[in-house]
This record gives sequence, C-alpha cells and structure tokens, in this order.
Amino acid sequence: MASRGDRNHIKNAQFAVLTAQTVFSTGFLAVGGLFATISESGAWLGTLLGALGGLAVAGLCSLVVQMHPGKNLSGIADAVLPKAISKLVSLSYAAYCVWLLAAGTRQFILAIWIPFLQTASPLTLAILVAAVTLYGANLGIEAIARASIVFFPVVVLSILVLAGLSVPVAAPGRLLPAVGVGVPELLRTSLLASSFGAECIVMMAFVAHTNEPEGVGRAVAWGVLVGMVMMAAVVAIDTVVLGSRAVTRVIFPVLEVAKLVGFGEFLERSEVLLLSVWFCAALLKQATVFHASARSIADTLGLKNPKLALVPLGASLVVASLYPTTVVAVLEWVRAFLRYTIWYALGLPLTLLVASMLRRPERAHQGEGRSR
Amino acid sequence: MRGALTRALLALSLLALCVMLPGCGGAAEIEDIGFVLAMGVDRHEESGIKLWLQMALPSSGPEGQAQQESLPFITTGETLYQALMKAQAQSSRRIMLGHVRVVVIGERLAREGIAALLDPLVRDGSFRYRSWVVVTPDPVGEVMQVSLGGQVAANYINDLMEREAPTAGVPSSRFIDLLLAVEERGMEALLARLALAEQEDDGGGAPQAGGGPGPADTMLGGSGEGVGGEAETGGEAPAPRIPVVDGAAVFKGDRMVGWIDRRLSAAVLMLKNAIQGYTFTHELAGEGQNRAVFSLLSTNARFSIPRESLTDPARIRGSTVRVNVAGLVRLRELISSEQYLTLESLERLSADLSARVERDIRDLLHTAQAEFRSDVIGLGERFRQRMSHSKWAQVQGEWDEVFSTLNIEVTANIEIRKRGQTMRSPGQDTAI
Repeated sequence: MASRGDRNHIKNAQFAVLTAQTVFSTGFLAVGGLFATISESGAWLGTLLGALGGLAVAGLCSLVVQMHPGKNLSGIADAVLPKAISKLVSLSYAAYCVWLLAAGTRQFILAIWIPFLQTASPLTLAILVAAVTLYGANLGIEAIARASIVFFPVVVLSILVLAGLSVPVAAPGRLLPAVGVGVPELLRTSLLASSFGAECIVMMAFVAHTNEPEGVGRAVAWGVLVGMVMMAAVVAIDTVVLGSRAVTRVIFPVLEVAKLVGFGEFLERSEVLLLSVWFCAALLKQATVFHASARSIADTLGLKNPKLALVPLGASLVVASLYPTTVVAVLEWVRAFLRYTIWYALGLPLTLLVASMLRRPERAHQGEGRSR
Repeated sequence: MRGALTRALLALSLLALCVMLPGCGGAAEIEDIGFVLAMGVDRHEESGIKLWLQMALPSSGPEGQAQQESLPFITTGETLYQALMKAQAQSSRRIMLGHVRVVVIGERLAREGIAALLDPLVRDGSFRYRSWVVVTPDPVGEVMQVSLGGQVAANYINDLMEREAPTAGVPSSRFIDLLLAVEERGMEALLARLALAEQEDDGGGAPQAGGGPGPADTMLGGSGEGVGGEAETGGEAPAPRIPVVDGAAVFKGDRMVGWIDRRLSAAVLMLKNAIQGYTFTHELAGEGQNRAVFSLLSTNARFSIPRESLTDPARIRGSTVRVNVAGLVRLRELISSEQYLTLESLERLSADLSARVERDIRDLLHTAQAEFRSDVIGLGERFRQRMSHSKWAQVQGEWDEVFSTLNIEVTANIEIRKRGQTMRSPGQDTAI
C-alpha cells in the first residue's frame, strides 16, 4: 500500500471531491433528527454555520501543510515533535479515524438493516462492508479518488432529485424561524455540525499525494464547503417535508423523506435507488478513512509494510460496527463523536502549527551556526 | 491504467454483491407474502379494536384480473398490533403493510382518539406515509366490502382520493398529513370523510352520503355507531352502496371533534393554498334557474398578523388577523341568458363569487372557532413561523383556545380566468 501510495498522485479537484465526500457521506443520514432536537426549525442554519468550524480546521491544516510541503501528517509530526509525542499524535489520529470508521459503518448498517433488510444478519452486513472497505483501501487513494470523482456527482444529483421530488409535499415555511429555538441552541448546533466539517482532517494523511501542493488548502476548503452545504440542504429537506418537531421522531429522516416522495405512481419505492447511490459514496468514504487509519497505525508501529495493518484493522472494524447494539446507544455514540471531535480536529493542526513555528527559528538558528 | 479499471470493476461487483447477498438467506416467494391493500379500524365493544384487512392475492393470471382478487381478514384485539398478530395467526402468508393504500377509520374510534393507532404503523419499516387515511360514519366492514367494476375497496378508494377528492374540496388526507398535524403545534388534522351513498336510480337525484347531511349543510355529530347500518330500501333487495368522498373530519389533537361539509372543507383548503380544481355550482342573480358551475383553479391566501401580537403573546387573544384570498376560477357550465360578455358583467360576477367565498370562509371560521375550537386552518403555524420560539412557547400549549378568540377578517378577490372554448352558450344570440 505504501509503495503504491507513494507513487500515487491525485489532482486537487479529486482532493476536493474526496474531502466533500468524507464530510458529507454517512453523517447526513441521521443529522436532521439530531440537530432538530436541539434547535428545531433552525437545524438547517446551524448545520450551515457549522461549515465555519470545518473551514477553520481546513485553514489550520493548510498552514501546516504549506510549512511542510510533500509530507503527510505522520511525517510532519515526526519533523516538529519529539519522537514519543509524534507517535502519540499518530496514534491519536488513528484512534480518531477508527472511531469515525466504526460510527459511520454502524450508522449505515442500521440505515440499511432497519427499513430494508430486517431478516439479514447484521454480522453479514458488517463483514461485507468491511471487506469492500478493505478492498477499496488496498487499491490506494488514487483508485478511491478516481471512483469518487464518478460517484460523488451522482450523490449531488441524487440530493437535487430528492429536493425536486419533495416540492409537492414540502412546506418551506417550516424552516422558520431561522434561528429556531434560540441563538444559544443555534450556536450549539453549529458547533456540533462543525464536527462533520472537521472530518476533513482525514485528508492530512494524503496531502503528500497531491500533484499541486500549493492548492491543497483551497481544495480542502472547497470540499468542506460543498459537503456542509449539502448536509444543510438535507437537513432543510428533512424539515420542510417532515416538520421541525416530527423530524425528531425519525431515526434516519432522509430515508423517510426518500420513502415518502416519488414520481407519482410511475416510479414508486425510488428510495432504494437513492440509497444505493448513497451506499456507494459511503463505502468510498469508509475506504478513504480506512486507508488513513492503516497508514497512521503503520507509521505509529513502524511497520515497513502497512498492509500488515489492514487485516487486523478490518477485523476490528467488523467487531466495532456491531456495537452498540441499540439505536439509542448508536445515536448517543454519534452525539459523543460530535461533541468532542471538533476540539481534537482543531487541536491537532494547531499543535503541529505551533510546534512548526517554534522549531523554525531554532532550525534557522542552527543553520546560522553551521554557516559560521 | 488497465489494472486500475479492472480493480474498479471488481470493486463495483463487490458493491453489487454487498447489496444483493444479505437478501439471499431470507428470500420469500411472492405467494408467501400477504400484501395488505387496505386496513379498516374501529372501536370494538369487548376487545377494544376491530381490524379489517384486505389482502391482495397475487396470481399468475393477467395483471388486471390479479388485482381484483383479495382476501378479507377480520380480527379484534386490545391494540392494533394485537389485532394484526391475530390476523397473522389466521393467515398462511406473512402480512406486509408496505402496500397499504388506504386506512379507513370508523367514526367512533376517531372520536375516542387515534394516537395509539399511529405507533405500530410508524414503527413498521415498510408502511408508506403516502397511504390515504379516511374517516367514515358508516360501518367500516361495509366500506371494506365494497367492490365496484371488479375493483376492490382499496383500489377504488385510492382512485377516488387521487382523482375525485380535489374537485370535491376534500383535504389531502395522507398518513403524513395526519402525523404532522398530531405532532406539530399550531395546526390540527383534517381527514377526508368517506361515506357510502345510494347509487342513483332512474328517478334521478344526487347520491346522498350515508348518514350525512347534504353538501350545503354543516355536519356536526354523526352516528358514531360504526357497526350495523343496513341500507333501508323497504322490502326490496338493498342496492349496493358506493363510497363517496364528501366533506372532512375535524380533529383536535388525535380526537375527532366533528364533521364539516365539502363547502367548509374547501374553505380550509383555500386558506391553506391547497385547493386544486374544487368544483361548485353558483346560483346567478336574476330570474329563473340561472346558474353556473365553476372550478376553483388556485387560491393565494395572505394573512396579515398584527406586529404587536408577534412580539407580545399576551396581546394575541382578541387581536384582529386579516386574510385576503385571491383566487382564479374556470367557468365550466353556464345556464343563463346573461352570457357575461362585457367587462362590467364579468366584474359583477367576480364580485358575486368573491362574496360567496368570503361567506364560506366566515362560516368555516365560525365553526372552527366557536364550535370545534380547533385550528384546522393552521393559523398557529403561521404565528409560530413569525414569532421567536420563546414567545411562541408561551401560547403553543393553549393555542386552540387562543385561536378561538381571534377576530379574523376575510376579504376575497376571485377572478374568472378561463371560460372554455366558447364565448357564449349555443343558442344564445347575444352579440359578442
């Protein structure tokens, strides 16, 4: 994987699409209900404002990357931090990615299992998802990026189709008042939503793979913006169709909306088509995050062949995606993820940035001494 | 490059397998699934709930013929789910609610509250929120037995609601509408009234809804029996009665509080900007039986809420809300010597129609505010959208009471937009 990854190069447009896909896919399934519980009709605006947090993370990452061109997260950490702390940073990053991976997989398995495949074994689903994810990760980031550039526009189109089909049953007034329950709740919603935008930090594992390093920051920022605007659009669609209070009752509101709308009697049950598209995008996101996790674990453990990390990671993904067993616990897990990970996503690049700034004068000083 | 393509194809194949494989173990033949097309629910004296199910019988015959066959189930239970389980015990097929087209609720149960019915339906992953929900004053069992032109009740009622309900001024009445009204504050449910009517005989006369008053009357109360109800036809064999949609059931929370006729039901739709081709007969001024039939194509109701009411909830009670309804109509039939070929005559007719609409809306508001105390027009939702949440929270719990104190002033402006393919009626020699 490392050798293939090392020679892989992706364009910044692909980088932006990968970022948008990472930010948007999986989280959008339950987000409408989660945020409407806090700020009711203001959930969509809170989600949109959450892009600011994601953009802040993207900005910090961009500054760090500009100071260390051609290096991934682990390489940057090794360069600016003591070895032990660098390993700790890589390990914490791997833990973040695994948490993201497990939460995303569990959510998606439930989204398929509860309404569509109640008789199927969740273990079978988990194994299949893990197998496809592992296979995607093994192909390398270039293959994932190429597939994403095909699938993600289809996902964007599917959301537009969903919005169009919702028009006959939608009441736009349900988005008012725009601040929802109040400004404090709106800010809380935006802070939680920014955790989705902050998932762009996963891209730090691949910054060395771009063939246009100077534009990476802008690509990540665009990805965050597109992903969060799409997520806010999904929350808005959920609200105008299901109502700002009624949406809180539904586990996966966007699926309920997809079940509700259709092309009249011409094409009923179109939700399966939409779900298939979303499922493909989610698998590509999971493959991206899995790839980042495997690289980070390999760097932490000093494995010469990162493929050794793939199979144990895949097995642990299967186990992790089977727990928690209840929907209530899963949503609690997602809430915990939203509550805490924004701080990690902000703290990690900030730490690297401060360390880089502190090391720079030191290096300059050392260079000056040598020249003398 | 070729290798990457091969890998991408492999990945796609795996994706497809991922979607398809989990279904292999639990495959079920179509003959083993009981596709429920219609559900009827009413109060049962002993058990609590009486349930009627109409199950499709898929066959290998022609599609049209296959749709006509159905299997009825009648069970009882303390709850809806218990009754469903009893039906499941009686059936060799696995009951599936994903194809339910219509849910018929008996008036008696509707008046006692239907919240308990909603829970098992929203928990079922296959049940569609697009299913129609109607309330009937007639015996639910009789409605469920209807079979006309080879069509079973589910398909007949579905077609009726799809195509005829809009012209009859009947509300949308889908399951999602009921759910929203029960869950959201500031709006109450309005469900279509489905009644059984005698078929017209050679002697003429319009079909009359079973147990219901004529279209021009406001329907209050109702039989509330939900059982029995043989058609009275003297000593002769009773003619089969046909379902008709006529008027609506008004709810307060999850309980039905009364009926309104099609005139008032249409007035609700005008205020909600949801009218779609409501057709009505209008008596024209002048001598003789002069009349015209119009279709109301669309309405645009604009509410003007006083600013002080939005900023101070204490001032909402008794405040004056103004509503202006602009509408477009199409002339469908004109039986009159006056052919309305001048601008002056058209303006006169428009004013006459506007006055009629104003009267209908005022009658509706009087019924909703004074008799039912139920905000079926969703005015509360308009307040909620324009108020801050903290201020709305002060009134949302008692909104129906606040609604009944509002002074709502109505003005209407109806314009005759279309008159068909002729300027005047045949035989009328009025010059254009």
